[in-house]
Amino acid sequence: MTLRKFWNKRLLTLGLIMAMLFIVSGAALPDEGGCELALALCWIDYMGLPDIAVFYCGTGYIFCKKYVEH
Amino acid sequence: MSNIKRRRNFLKYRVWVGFVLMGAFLFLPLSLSAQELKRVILDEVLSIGSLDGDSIFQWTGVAVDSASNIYVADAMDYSLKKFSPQGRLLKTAGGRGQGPGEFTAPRLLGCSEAYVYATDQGFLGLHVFDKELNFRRRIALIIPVSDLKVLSDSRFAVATMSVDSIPAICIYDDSGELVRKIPYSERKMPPMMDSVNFDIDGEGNLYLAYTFEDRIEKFDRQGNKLWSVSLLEAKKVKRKKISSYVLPTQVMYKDVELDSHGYLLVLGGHLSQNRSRDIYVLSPHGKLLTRLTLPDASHCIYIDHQNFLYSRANQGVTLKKYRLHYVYE
Repeated sequence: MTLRKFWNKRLLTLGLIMAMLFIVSGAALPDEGGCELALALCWIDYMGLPDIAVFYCGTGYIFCKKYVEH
Repeated sequence: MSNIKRRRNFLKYRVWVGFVLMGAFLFLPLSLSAQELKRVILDEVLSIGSLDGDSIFQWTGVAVDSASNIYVADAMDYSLKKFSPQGRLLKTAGGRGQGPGEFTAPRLLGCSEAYVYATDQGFLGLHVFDKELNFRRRIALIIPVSDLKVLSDSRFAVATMSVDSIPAICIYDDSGELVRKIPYSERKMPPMMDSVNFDIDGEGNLYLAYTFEDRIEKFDRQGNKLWSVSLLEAKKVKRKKISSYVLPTQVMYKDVELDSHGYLLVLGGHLSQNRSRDIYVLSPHGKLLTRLTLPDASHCIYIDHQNFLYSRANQGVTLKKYRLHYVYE
């Protein structure tokens, strides 16, 4: 992998994480699917820590479903 | 009339009066309890926070103490706030961080006689504050808390996410030692399908409302299931594959609370006629008695010791307090 490709991947991941943070902690997104996207991104974020990912991202998903979607 | 006859008549009279009084004593409470709840009406008595104010930014959890002071977890402000019964902001505590008494994302609140307990999305356990919102200690747990009920100064119960284990409500003491587990399923459940909100009555009976299943259940304190009801006629749970997991996507029930009459109030979710606004009122035996509708969508409901109901408005900027009026047939 070239250095440029590596940085593109890093930027993409960072962008996705920023989007997730916006969804979870920022303004409420009433659109269905926002919590699923946030969960998927959270799992990417915690890829190396599967146990924490299940707990942390899982409880975040349930909270998002209850709080954001109505 | 002879004295004997008069005395006999008097005795007869006393016996009859005795029978009538006994009958009234026995049957009056029965006839009152036989009155069926027809309707519950909400009467707004207090509103805290507004779109142009700064007392609440986005609240997530609420609890009320025995003096009717209101405690709010404000996620956008990373803080706990204490309001007077009239809605005046008395104190703010917390702040953003991971230090003692700080929050990354405050969530659930519970209140005992002496303490206020708070959960944080970024911390496995509870933060404990006194009633003046001075930080006291942390109670570390090894599992994330998805619902919390404070039972006393030294006992609290939590619903958790179970992975590869039988789902259960866990009761802990104030040092974080597990005191008792109340399992509510005999088998392991698919991911997140065991997510519940719960309440516990004075006799130790447990009431559950499943987040992603159309199921409300009651267990006795020994863990025996007493009843199970479905209200939404949702036969199939909608699921979606997210990464490598197939997860439920529709919330059936968002919260459950017992009122001071022993009625069970269950906040419906995405499949209710009025999404996140319908509250189903069930008898202690699981019979659906009536339904009421909140003016605004809410993620939770809370009922205090004086039977006032609290819920969300304005997307979490406002906390509403309602008096519950019960109309019987």
